[in-house]
Amino acid sequence: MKKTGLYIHIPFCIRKCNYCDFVSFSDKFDYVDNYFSHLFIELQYVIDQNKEISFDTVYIGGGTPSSVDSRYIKQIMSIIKNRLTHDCEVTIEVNPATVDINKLSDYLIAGVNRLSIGIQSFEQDLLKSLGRIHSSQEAINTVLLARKAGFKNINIDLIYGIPSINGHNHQTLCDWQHTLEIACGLGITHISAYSLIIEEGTNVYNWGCEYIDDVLDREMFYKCKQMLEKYGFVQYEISNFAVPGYESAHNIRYWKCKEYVGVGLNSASYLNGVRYKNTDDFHRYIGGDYQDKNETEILDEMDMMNEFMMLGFRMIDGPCPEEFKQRFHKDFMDVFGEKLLDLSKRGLIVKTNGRYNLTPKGLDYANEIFREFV
Amino acid sequence: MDNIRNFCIIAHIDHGKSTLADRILQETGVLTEREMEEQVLDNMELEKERGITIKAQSVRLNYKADDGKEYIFNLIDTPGHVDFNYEVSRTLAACEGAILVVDSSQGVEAQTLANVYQAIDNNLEIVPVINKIDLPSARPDEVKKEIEDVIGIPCDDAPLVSAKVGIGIHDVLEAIVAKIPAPVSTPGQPCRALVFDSFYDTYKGVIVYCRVMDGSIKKGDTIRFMQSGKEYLVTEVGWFKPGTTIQSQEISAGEVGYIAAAIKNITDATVGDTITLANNPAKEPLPGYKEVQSMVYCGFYPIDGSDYENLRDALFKLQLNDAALIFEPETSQALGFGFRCGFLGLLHLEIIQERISREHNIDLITTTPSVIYHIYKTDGSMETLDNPTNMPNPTDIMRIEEPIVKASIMTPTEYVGNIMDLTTERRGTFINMDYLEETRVIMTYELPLNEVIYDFFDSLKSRTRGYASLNYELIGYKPSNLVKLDILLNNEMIDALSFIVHADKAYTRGRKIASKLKESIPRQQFEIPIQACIGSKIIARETVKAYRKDVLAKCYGGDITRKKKLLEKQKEGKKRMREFGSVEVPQEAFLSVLKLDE
Repeated sequence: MKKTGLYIHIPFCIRKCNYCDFVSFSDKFDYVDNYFSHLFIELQYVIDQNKEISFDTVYIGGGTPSSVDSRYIKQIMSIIKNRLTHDCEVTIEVNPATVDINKLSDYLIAGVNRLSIGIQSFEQDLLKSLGRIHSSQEAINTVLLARKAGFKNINIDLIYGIPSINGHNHQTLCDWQHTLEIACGLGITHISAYSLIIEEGTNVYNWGCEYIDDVLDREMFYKCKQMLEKYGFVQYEISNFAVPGYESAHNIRYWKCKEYVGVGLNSASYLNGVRYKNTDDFHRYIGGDYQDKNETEILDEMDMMNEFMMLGFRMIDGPCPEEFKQRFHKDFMDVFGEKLLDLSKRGLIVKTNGRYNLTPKGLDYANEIFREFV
Repeated sequence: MDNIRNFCIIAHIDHGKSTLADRILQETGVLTEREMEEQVLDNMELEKERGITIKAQSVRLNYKADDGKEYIFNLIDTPGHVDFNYEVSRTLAACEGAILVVDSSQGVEAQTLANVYQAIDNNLEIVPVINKIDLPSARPDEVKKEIEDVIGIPCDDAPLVSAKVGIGIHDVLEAIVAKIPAPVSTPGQPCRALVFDSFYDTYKGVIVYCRVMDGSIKKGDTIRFMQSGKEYLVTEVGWFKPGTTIQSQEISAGEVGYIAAAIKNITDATVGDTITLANNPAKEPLPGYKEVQSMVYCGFYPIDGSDYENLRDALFKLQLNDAALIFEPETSQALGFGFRCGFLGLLHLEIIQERISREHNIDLITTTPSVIYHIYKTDGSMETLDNPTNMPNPTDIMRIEEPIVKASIMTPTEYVGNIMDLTTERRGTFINMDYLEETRVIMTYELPLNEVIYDFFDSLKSRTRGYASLNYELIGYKPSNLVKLDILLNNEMIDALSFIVHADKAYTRGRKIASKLKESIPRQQFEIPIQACIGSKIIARETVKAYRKDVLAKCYGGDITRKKKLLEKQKEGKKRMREFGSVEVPQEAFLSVLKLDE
């Protein structure tokens, strides 16, 4: 049986955050039932159509999956139950102030074994400026509750480089350090720390906020790396840190260009060298028209090799030469030798133990490397 | 031949020349209502967009006059901007008369005068027309008087017109019939036709626009170009309708038309040459025109070096329609292979540049424009210099002379002070000031051409709220204290940014350029010093700070396509930059240093 990943999108949120550009809605809770009935149809279809597939990673993301009743999650799990590998990593995204101990226990019983909690910051004022619905204390409580419910594998999302939004102060190095200190004391296994990107169409963008000074942004990154390493986390991707053994298997799948199936609004799939995408039009989706045919991208071998390198370099270990050889029956030095040497000369990557990976400078200017492979 | 009227329309820019031409076309029914659009004769996208005429265009019209007779009008629309005076001059030779359009609220302007004098020199009958009488600010009687006083043309029965609204067009047509003489020719003379324009057609080769003076030309004739001596078999003759050509049997004395003869090389059929028939050649050619002189030179370099050949093709094709454009290959240390191009003025330069990027899809870097300097060396020799890079060693130079123009500026009296400030800043020498009427003057200055070519016209307009008008002509060379200013990026000299400037202004210019470059060069992974220097002396310095971060923080959720698109977009942006050593400079940086006053 072929092993792949499964992504399920749940596009509901109590409130849209000011920086958020994901496909999610705070005004469509009336359609929750309607949405899930279509999601189940699509999921069942995918399962029936791909009988040879089993899932070794499942990721229920959003939106805020925890903003809807846990029976929907239970039903998802029951549809896919027979197709999960025994060691399958099943993650669900939750937000503070949307879960209680019962909901969390429901998830656990249904087979979810990893939680990803969107916390973003432990500073009250920054939470407000980001448009989060929860307080700093509620965030802490949610983590503790998750542990109490029995979750052993918990991620929290944090954001740094928060600009001055709507008259609030921008994030300081001191704020960030404080947030990291709290995070490290919560007994969690994984931290995603993102430098905020102001995406078009978000409130932050429309309000005309400007990025914080990029020197400060980098200081925050170094601070993060330094502190988390002290507490036993290892950086394994540009924005991701884990206690060894707790790396996100689902996300690594993306970075290793392995296959995945997406279900739900605006989800993407990558199967047999073709990338498909579902519509981002909510009403089209609940009208039964799931896929957006215009977004289908057929990758040729060169595309695949380029993506393998581009995404591979997101990981601290860099793209794996053996996997490259196994997949493409070529030596990546034969294909990309010149580019890799050039990037090495520019000090962006370095060869260690037969693998190329990012230098500290390469971490700051990773796009320079990615752009070589698009 | 008695019923033919060949005329052009001359006017200051924006006085409504093209609109009047549109109306005349409409009134004579050459176009149906459906075909009618604004600025019919301005085919080029650029012309419509900028609302200006760049290329002369001709068209043939039929008009049934009040006297009951049918007339054939050959109308040639001409450009109004000072840069394109040259286009005007060649049109004039093909006509017997000119309609002089004067804006009834603006009155006589600098180019009105310049154009009228040219027309008078060509023995053209001038038919004054007072336009825009529908405007509340119109003062037709005063303007009439002004034309009589300033130009000396009687204006009693000048048609009062609003081309925009369509008033008085009939009067204009009748005035053309009544006032403009029919062409004359001496019967029995061998054929002579004057080439006044040409353009390149992919299928038919060079299409020659000509005015037949004597005899006639028909399909199957073998024609000879008297200057080049080349002979061709005529494949087609005819005349013009807007946007198209109409074949005819022959074109004969007094007529304006075109000839196609499978001419491959534009230089075989230069504007100003005389066409005659090979089997019965004329003895003497018609008087040609003055050779065009390029006033402004600059380098064109493709951003993508592999576009070099395409750029050559593009320039060649543009030159087919624009004899005023000249170019030859040159190399720059910083920019690689490119072309040194000569233009009539800065607008001409801009237009060519825009046409290359639009019509030929080539991204260009334009080096700082230069005029032609005369360098007198200590060994007694003289060199002409149109590229600052080739400036000889200062120790070998005895003196440098720069081209000087006589500039006439017409302005309402209230802006005289502003203009004096401007001309002083631009090293102008005041010659005199005459009153045209109580509230308007014509000021005459001698100005160095290199002060005029950059943005003098724009500055003049902005300081006079658009009321002043300008005309200028080259009058000679004068010695001047000039120095070469170099720009260093990351301690490397960028030869393409070097220019020649008056010593007194070097500091200001150097500082302005350095700060402009600082704004337009994106931050890179290291600090970039920008220096302006004369010789080894640094006169200005700025620094582009290094950026510290360029990383997509987030990439999961499987939507890799979107991230790839973002990276591709960034990559495209980088392609539009030129690398100097390790510094990437965007095209805009080169353009921005040309427009320092904005």
